[in-house]
Amino acid sequence: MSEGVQRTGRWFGLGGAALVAVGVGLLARVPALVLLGGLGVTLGAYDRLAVAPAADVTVRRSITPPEPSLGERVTVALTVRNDGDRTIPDLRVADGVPDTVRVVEGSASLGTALRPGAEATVTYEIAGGTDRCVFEPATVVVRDVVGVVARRTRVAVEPDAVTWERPAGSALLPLVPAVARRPGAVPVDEGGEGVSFYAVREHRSNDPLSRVDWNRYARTGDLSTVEFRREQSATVVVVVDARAAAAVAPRPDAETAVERSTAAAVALVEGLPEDGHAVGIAAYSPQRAWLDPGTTEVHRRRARELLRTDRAFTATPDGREPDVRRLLARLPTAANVVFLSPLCDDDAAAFARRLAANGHPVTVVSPDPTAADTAGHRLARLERAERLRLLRAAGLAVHDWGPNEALRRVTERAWRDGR
Amino acid sequence: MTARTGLVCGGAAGLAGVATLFVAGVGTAATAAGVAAVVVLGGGVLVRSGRLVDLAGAALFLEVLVAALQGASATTVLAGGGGTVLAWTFGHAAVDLRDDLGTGPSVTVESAHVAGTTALVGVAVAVTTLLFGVDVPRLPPLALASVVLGAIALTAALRR
Repeated sequence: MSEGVQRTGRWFGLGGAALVAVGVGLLARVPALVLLGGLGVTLGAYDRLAVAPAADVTVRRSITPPEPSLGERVTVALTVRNDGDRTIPDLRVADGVPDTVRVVEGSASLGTALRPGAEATVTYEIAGGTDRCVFEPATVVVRDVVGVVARRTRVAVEPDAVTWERPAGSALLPLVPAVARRPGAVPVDEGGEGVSFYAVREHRSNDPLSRVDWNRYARTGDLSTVEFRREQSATVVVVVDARAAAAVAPRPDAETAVERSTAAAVALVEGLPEDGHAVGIAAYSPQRAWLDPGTTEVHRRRARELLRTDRAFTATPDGREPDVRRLLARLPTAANVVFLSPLCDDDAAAFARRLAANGHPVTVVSPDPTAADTAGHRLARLERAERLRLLRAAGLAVHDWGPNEALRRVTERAWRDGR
Repeated sequence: MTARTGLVCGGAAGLAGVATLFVAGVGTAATAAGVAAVVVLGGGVLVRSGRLVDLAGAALFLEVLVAALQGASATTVLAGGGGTVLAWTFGHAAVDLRDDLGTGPSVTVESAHVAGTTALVGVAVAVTTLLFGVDVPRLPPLALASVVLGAIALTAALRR
């Protein structure tokens, strides 16, 4: 809406009512009604003459924590202060929350009356950001006490950005080792080509000269060969469960599992290529979305765009089932699959099993959307826990991602547990 | 989740509506209009409809008109008129606070609005009564009406 002073029209019709009262009073010869018209006129005069108070306010924002890790909630406190020398009887502030995040607790707007020099604060929590999110200026509306005239303005507020830090690339997720040939970052307990030292063994005639330990040769005269820990780069495809059945959340205003999965997918797409892994994107959704594995900066940008804007990731219910056969056919042979799904129905679990059966090393990261407030919700929680247990028993690496938990916690736990 | 935004204004609107109903409900027709107004007002605030609040305001106004025609005193009519304006204004405030702020905190702004508007309308009622003097009934209605019409023309000319 435009800035400036506007009449709100709250008392629109008052003059007409006054005229009706006077007219009826005249016809029926009732002086009291003419008096009533007089009251209408007095109030109508106020309606015409009222002036909006000056919007002489400063707005501050405090963001805690200032550098959240991915998946973590951020508390924003918006404080508004009346710098003028007159009381503002009606002050409304709405913070310019970025489109890419969601307010999950509290409200990003505040209504208050402020004496000169007084302050009022509103606190709310946001979640769902994946990188740098910039706040819009806050909208401030001040009105007279009745609310017949309003002054609207936009106030820039500092600090105006929050950056969700994703876990560093190598700390992202311990990938399940796959059979691949390039040196990379998935450690294999096997000596060979690589970057970190593994062992020294006797020289064999066909060993490359670059790996001969010349220091030892100078010292002892024996030829020996240095072996490095073989690490492989993997081809990873991040599959996001974006069916309508996955768009579930513990509360109506909380982030849905699809939103959390998409945020985690962005982090994986950003982080894994730093270790030389090629990352692709796919949607387990009735709408098709596919991005071939790649490592370049351009590729990462395209992946981000795809995750943010493609219809396949919006969980639109359209009654169709995902085309699993087609999706499996597109996956590169033995590609590492990271499957992001709340696992709230058997279809998702069956899909994960089918991926593993097709020879893909599967890592499941499962944002937990369950609640415990009703018996039905508790049952759903138990069923999900059972699904996770069965998948683990089937040999899949399954990581449960609790509500309000930072993604970094999950990855730390994953590394600690060794898988 | 219970949102309290608009509760103070909505409650004040209901109070003002009920007060008007009791003050101006001097006959069956007036009381019927008043009861309908209070019901519509409550519904309008609950479903956040400005039109229903307008309708409720019109019904309260009708109640006051009918009461005046049935011979209610000038004080009763003025008090009823003031109550009508208050109920209508608070109803609108409750609706647009919910629209503007959602579930944001608003108790202070609502209290300030209720207190300020009540004071303003109270002063307007008092000023109107004083302006027309104590012996209102003896003034010829046409003279009174001329003054009021002149005032309406004057306020219309005040548009900036």
